[in-house]
Parts: sequence; C-alpha cells; structure tokens
Amino acid sequence: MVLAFRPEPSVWQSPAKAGGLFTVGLLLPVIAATLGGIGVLALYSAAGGAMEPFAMSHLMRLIIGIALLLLLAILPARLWLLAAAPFYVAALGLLAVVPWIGATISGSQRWISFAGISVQPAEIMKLALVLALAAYYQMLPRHLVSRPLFVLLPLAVVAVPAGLVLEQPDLGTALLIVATGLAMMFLAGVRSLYFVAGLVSVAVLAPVLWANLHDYQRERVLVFLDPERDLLGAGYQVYQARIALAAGGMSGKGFLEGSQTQLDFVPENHTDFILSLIGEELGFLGTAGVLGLFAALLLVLGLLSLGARGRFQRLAIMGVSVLVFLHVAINTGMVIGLLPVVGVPLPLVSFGGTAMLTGLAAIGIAMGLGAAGKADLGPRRRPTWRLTRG
Amino acid sequence: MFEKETADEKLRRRLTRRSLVIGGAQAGVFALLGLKLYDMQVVYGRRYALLADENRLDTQLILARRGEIRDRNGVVLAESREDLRISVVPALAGDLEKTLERLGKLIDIPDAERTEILALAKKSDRLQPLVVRAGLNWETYAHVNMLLPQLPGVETGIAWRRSYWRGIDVGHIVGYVGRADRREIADEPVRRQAGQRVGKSGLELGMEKELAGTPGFIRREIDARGRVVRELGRQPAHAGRDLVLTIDSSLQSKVLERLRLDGLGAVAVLDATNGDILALASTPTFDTQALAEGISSEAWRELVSAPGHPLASKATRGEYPPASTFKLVTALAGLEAKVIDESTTVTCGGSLEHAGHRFGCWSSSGHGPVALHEAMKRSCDVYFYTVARKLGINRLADMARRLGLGQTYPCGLSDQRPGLVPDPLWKLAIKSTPWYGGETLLAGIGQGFVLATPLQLAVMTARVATGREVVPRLVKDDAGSLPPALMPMSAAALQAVRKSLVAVVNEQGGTAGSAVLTGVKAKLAGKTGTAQVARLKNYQGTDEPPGSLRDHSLFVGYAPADQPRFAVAAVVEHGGAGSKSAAPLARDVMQELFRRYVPELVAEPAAGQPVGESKGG
Repeated sequence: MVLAFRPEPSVWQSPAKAGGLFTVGLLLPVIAATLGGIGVLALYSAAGGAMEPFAMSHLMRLIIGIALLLLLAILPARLWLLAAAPFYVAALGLLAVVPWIGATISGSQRWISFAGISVQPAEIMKLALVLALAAYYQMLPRHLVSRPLFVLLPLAVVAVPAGLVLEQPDLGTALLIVATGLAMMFLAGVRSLYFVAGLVSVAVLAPVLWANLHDYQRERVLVFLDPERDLLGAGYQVYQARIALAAGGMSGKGFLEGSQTQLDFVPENHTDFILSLIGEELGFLGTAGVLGLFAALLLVLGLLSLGARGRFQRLAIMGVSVLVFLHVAINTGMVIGLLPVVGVPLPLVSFGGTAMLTGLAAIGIAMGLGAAGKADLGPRRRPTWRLTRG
Repeated sequence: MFEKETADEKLRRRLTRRSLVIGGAQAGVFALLGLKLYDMQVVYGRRYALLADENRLDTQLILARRGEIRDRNGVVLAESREDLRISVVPALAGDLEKTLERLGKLIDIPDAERTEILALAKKSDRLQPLVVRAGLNWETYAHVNMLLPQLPGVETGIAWRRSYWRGIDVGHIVGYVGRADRREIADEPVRRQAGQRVGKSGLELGMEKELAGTPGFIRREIDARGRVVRELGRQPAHAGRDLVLTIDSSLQSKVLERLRLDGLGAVAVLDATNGDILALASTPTFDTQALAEGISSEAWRELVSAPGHPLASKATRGEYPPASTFKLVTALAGLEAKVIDESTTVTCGGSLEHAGHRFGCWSSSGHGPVALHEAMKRSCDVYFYTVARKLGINRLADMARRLGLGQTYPCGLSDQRPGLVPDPLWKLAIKSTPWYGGETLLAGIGQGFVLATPLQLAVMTARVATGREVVPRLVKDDAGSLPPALMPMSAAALQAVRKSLVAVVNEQGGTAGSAVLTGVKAKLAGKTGTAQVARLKNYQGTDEPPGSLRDHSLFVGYAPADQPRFAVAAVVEHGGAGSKSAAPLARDVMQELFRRYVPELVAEPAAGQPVGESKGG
C-alpha cells in the first residue's frame, strides 16, 4: 500500500488566481452581512433599544466573522481536503472533553472555555463533519460507495459526535448532525435502497419502542411533540411567540414597538426565538424578508455546487447548504409551532458567538471551494490520494 | 479503467440529480414555512385584530387552593378561602393613574391606597398584577366584570385568601404567606399572578412545595362585553397538600401564656418517645393574620425593628450558650470515652489552674471532693473543666453532635439556625487561629463558643432520656411512626447521667429544687443552666445587674424520670440563674403536660395548680 501524493501546480493556486472568485459566489458575504445586520437590529430591540448587552457584541462578531469568511474564501481548496480529517478529529476531541471541563448552562453542558473565550464544540463539529464526509467520498474509490462496509464507516463518523452531543443533552443538535450526515451520504450516491431500508426499520421499531416506554416518558414525548399540552411549562414560549407573530400582521408594529417581546413575554427572544421579535415588530414583510435572504443564500450555494468541478467541492458546498437549510427550517418551524422546541438558533441572526463564527466560516469555505473550479481535485484520471491496490 | 470511469460518471450524475432533489426539498420547505407565516401573521393577524374589537381569546389561570394546616387535634391553623378580587397590570394599563381613577368610580379607592399602588407599580415587576381591592361581593364583582373592556389592564379573578387561626400563638411555627418578590417570580413565573401567595416564613416557607399545589387554566373566547362566548379548553388546578402537625395548639397557647410571665424566651416541648414537637413557643409573638391581610409598610417596619424581635422564632433561631445544660454532653462523653467513671472524684477548690489561667467555679468557695452524681447535682464547674480537659475538644464535640447539637432538622421549618459545636477545624477556618486548651475547658461547661437553640436542647435532652436517636417532627405523615433507633452508646453511661439528673431536681442540695413536680406522681429529671451575658465582676457586691446584662436562665428536663415521655427545654432571656426563672417555667409546662396527656398520674386532677400562678419557688 502506497500513499501516493502528487501535487499538481494548479491545485495550489489560490482560488483568486484560479480566476473563479468573481462569480455568483461573491453574493455570499453580502447576503450573510445583511442577515447579520438584521440580527444586530433585532438584538438592539430585544434589549429594549440598547446596544448592550447583545447588539454590540453581535456586531463585533459579525465584523470579525465577515473578515474570517473572506480570508477563508481565498485559501486554496486543497487545504480543506488535507485539513478535513485532522479538523474532524480535533472537533471530536473537544466534544469529548465537554463533560469534564464544560460549563453547565440551563441544565446542559455545551460550552468549554479557554483563555476567556467560550466555545460550543457542537457548533464546530457541524462544519467539521461536512468537510470530513466530503473528503471521505473524495478519497473513496467510486465502486465502493455503496458497499456495506463503506456505508457503515461514514455512519460511524456521524454517530459518534451525534452520540456525544446527545449526552450533553442536546437532542436538537444531535438530530441535526444525523440529518446532515445522512444528506451528505445521499448526495454522495449511496444506493437509495439503504435509505428506504432505514426508513422502514424506523417505522417498524417506533411503535415497539413506544409500547415499552413508561407513562411518564410518554408524557414527556407528547409534551415535546405538542407543547400546548403543557401550557404553563414548555408550551408557554411557543404560545407567546405565536401571539407575538400574530400581533405583527403584515407590516408589524414598528421597530422597538413590539409589546409581546419587549415586555419579556417571549423568553429567549434574543436567541432561539428572535424570529418572533422580528415578526412582531416588522410583520410578515420582516419574516418573509429573512426567509427570502436565506433562500437566496441557499440558491447561490446550490449554483456554486453545481458549477464546481471536483467531487469534494460539490459535496462540501452542498453540505454547507444542507446545514444552513436545516437550521433555518428547524428554527422557523419551532417558532411557528410546527416543530418541537429543540434549541436550534437562526443562523447569523440569533445571538451566539460560536454559531455565528462557524456559520460564516462555513460560508467562506463554500465560497472558496466554489471558486476553485479550475483547480480540480477530482481523481478522474488519477486519484491524487488513494489507497493503491498494488 | 473503463468500468471505473463509468462508475465515476454514474456517481457524478447521481450527485447532480440528488443535489437538485435536495434543492427542491429546500425550496418546498421554505415555501411551506412562508405560507404558514403568512397564515399566522397576515390572515390570522387580521382576524386577531378583528377579535380585539369583537371577540378575544383569554387564558385565565386557576389558582390552586393552598393546603390547610391543622394541629394534632384537628384544629385548623391555616386555611384558604375563596376571595373575589380586582387587580391591575401596570404594563398593560397604559396610564395607570387614569385607569385607577376610572375604576374608582365603580369601587371606592382611598387616596392613600391609590398612592401605595402607584408606588408599588414603580418598584415591582410591571407585569405583576397588583391587587386593587379584595373581598368583593358578587354584585360589585359582576359590575366591574361587565365594564372590563373599558378598563385597560384591569383584571378580575377569584383567588384564595389565606386565613390563620390562633395566628398569634402558632405564628412562629405556621409562618405566613405574602406576595412573591422578583426573585421568587423568577423561580416560578406562575407566581406573577394576582392573588398568588408564597410562603414567607415558618412551615408556609419550608413546606412551600407541598402546600402550593399546581395551578390550572381556562381558555375562553370572550365578547366585547366581557361575556364568555365559549370555553376552549381547561386544565383543573390541583390543590396543595393538607398538613397535620404534631403541635397541640391549645398546649402551645398555655405554654405561651406562662412564658409571657417571664418576658422574653423560648420553650420547646417534645414527645421524647417519637420526636413529635408538641409545642414550640417564643416570645414576643406577632399576629400572622394581620400580615396575611396585608399591613402597611410602616407597620411592617415597626414590626421588624420591634424590641425582642417578634418575627424571629427564638425556639429555632435563638442561638444561646447552653451553659451548664451542656454538662449532660460533657458527662456522657467522659463516661463513653472512659476518661472518668461514676466514682472518679475531683476536688473543687473554687477554681482550676490551666496554662497559667484561673478558671473559676460558680461557687467561689468550692464544692470539695465531688464525683459525677454530686458534681451534676450541684453543677460544679471545676469537675466538668477536668472532664473536658481529659477528653479534649474533638471527643467532646463529637458527643455534642451525636446528641443533636450543631445541626438543623428536616422537619419542614425554614427558620432554623444550626447553633455551633466548635472544634479546632472550625476555629482555624473561621477565625484563622489555633485552638487553645482553655477553650476546651469553657466548652465543657457550655460557655465559650458553644451555641444551641432551645429546640436542639430539647432534642439533646430527649436523646439522653431515651437513649434513642430522637429527631424532631413537626408534620405528621401517613406512615405513622416507629420509635427512633437506639443510639450506639453504653447503657451504663446513660443510666449514670440520668441518675444524676434526677438528683438535680429531687435531692437536697440540687440546683433545680425549684422545679420539683407537685401534684404529679412522677419525677422530673433535668439540669439548670445560667448563661453569662456580661462579665459580672463589675456588679459584685451590688444586688443585681441591670436587666439587659443579666444572665440568661436555662433549663432542660424530662419526665417521668423512670420512663421518659416528655422532654422540655426552656430559655428565659435575662432571667438570671437557671433555677430562678427557667426551672419553674419548665416545671409548670411539665405539670400541664401531665394534666393533658397522662391524667392518671395527676394526684389531684381538679385542684391542680393552674399554670401561670406559681412563678418563683
């Protein structure tokens, strides 16, 4: 077995030199900055019309994050392929130490801090997972993609971090990691049969599991699925958020005028429920505008993916797109009561440092990969990194 | 080569296809979310706006009935009754002053009350409803209800009004409820509701979780005239748990009546066989019913700063030096550790030299050669200095803890202080100085750093009397009670201490001759204590130091001596020597106990000495 590695000169060119940077991808930082700016305004309002304690640090992070995005976008694409595995291992390591050195906030351990900076390893893991799976399918000889062993391997790569996150406990993020991983495998071309079989077995097992639950466990699941069963507890947030949205109407009550959210009826209005604040003060135009910006972001990412030439680039960009999509869909679904409250933030808009920086970093990487069209990493003629069969 | 090429090609096409599938799914979900948002905000929002004019949805909380509290004989001490009330939410009222003015046309609001509400609105949570008027009759209530749409922020509701019975006598035990403050609301947002009360002291605070119950709610559609169009859903409230106490409230009243004759102090009465707290009295007292009805802030300030601290339950919060009553601990520790036996003799010459300091006995002329029996009977300090010195502080402190000192008990009372059982580790941690041998000597006679509450002293007495690990109990549970477990302790040691305690009260020359029971066919065993408040050197020769510097008078005891049933601890602040105030007080309480619970041992049931007329002796 020889690990052959042959650099091709063009591969090390930065995307800028490769000439692909000035494409539709250039819209990405613009859209991201706009969304972040909306976040700053909403947080200014959430604090009752003050920059402290949320809006100012959100703005600082946004500026740093956009700079980071641009920096990452001009780095050579090959770097991400090389870094994918170490990055994943490092993220996994951080995630694994959370139970020992993590801080407990609202009953779950999600944070670790060093040198005065707190980070959420789970947020970093989302990005690391996308890159790792993209790299995996880049390396994997094509005819092995649907072999059982090579389906189980990426499943393990998804399951281990998901399990660690579930321990924190953070059900929402764990499900999000699983969903992202499965989407990546689907994109990479794993045979549909596997997905059908998986769905069928879940459908078969669910009632069996349900029958074996204790009554109090069932009640917990029911409240989770239908918060209005417990209007004074878990359902309170959802109920108040719904009133706030309805009060907004078409054009909203006006900036800084939302009584529901201003008066603290909606808890967490600066993090997961920030959309209800936007909905009350800026109305349907506000919420639809936010959704529209995200749709534009997804559209650009999709175009970049389709236009990219390498398998790694296409997969990684689609992975970022899936990540953004899942966050937005779950968060919005949660605020409007379609989904249970699982604690998934609205990317770039919700208050939260690690999520904002990893989000912008992911978009930056996608932008760079999308631009690296000429620097094809694909092993069409000759796998650059591969396990040679001797 | 060719095959691989096609596999690669196939996957490439599959990736494109599946990217489009995922992109399509994304578009679909976004469209769905957008539609749902449109429905919720624009369509429902328009209806919502219409509803504001015509019908509106209303979610009303149903407050849970707070659990009742009864004494051991079923006498109600605290109950909750329905109460119709009107309240206002400052955050929703807009111009609060104008709203109150309009409301004032319907119900009478005195100016003073109006300014108080306005002041309260400024400093409390703006979403917390403030009660404007409670205890309304149905006509006024219905009238205000009808005009509700014209009164922004005004709410009507049915709440529970807490009533206390014998509040003056059992107030320290039962405690009282009040409006939740900001911190309490943060713990439990439901407490924001008007009429919601939380426990502030006593059992009301300590048993809050059990008493509070869980609120329910009703969701209704209401028309412009405030009439309920239809009910949309409801979840009933669950009432809090009713509590039955071990307290005998009429005994409690009698004990307080007697205690008041002595001024400030506390009495704890235990059923020594099972730990039931029969009475727990502290003076001065205060009226919890007045607090529950709400008192002016001025009256409250007055109550907080009143002389004698009426709000504090001295029986559980008063930390006193146990003085000579602590000699039970020293004697038992000495016997258990075998540093002394019953016949070990110490010669008391009025003082003891230790490390260059003179430790005086209360009797400066000395007691001569004394063994345990005599030393306890006459409360010889030198004897117990010697025992403590032989023991060392750690073994002494260990015994004190085994007898229940230095700790609070899980009996549901929030207002407990732990007292203090000092040891070298404590001193190093708190005072950063090492332990000195002389401090062991002082601890041996219950002075120095040692502190105990009257309830703890009663527990200590009950444990010595029964040899069992008596734990005080204030709330009866359904399980019934087993006798507490035996303490792992030498029976002979316990017996020796008990014998000496009988002598203290019943033998010639005992310090508590004033406590001998009359009219009861049972013996009281016990120990006096005189806790120094100030150094008395300055007053030698004169008759008595002024009241506030006089010693605290203590007595602990149990009866019947041969088969202990009741344990009593009494503290009279500035009551002088233990034999002077506390011992007669404990005697009277004990006699009352026998009259109530063991009439067969009372010699002359009808002609029994009425409690309260036998002070002194």
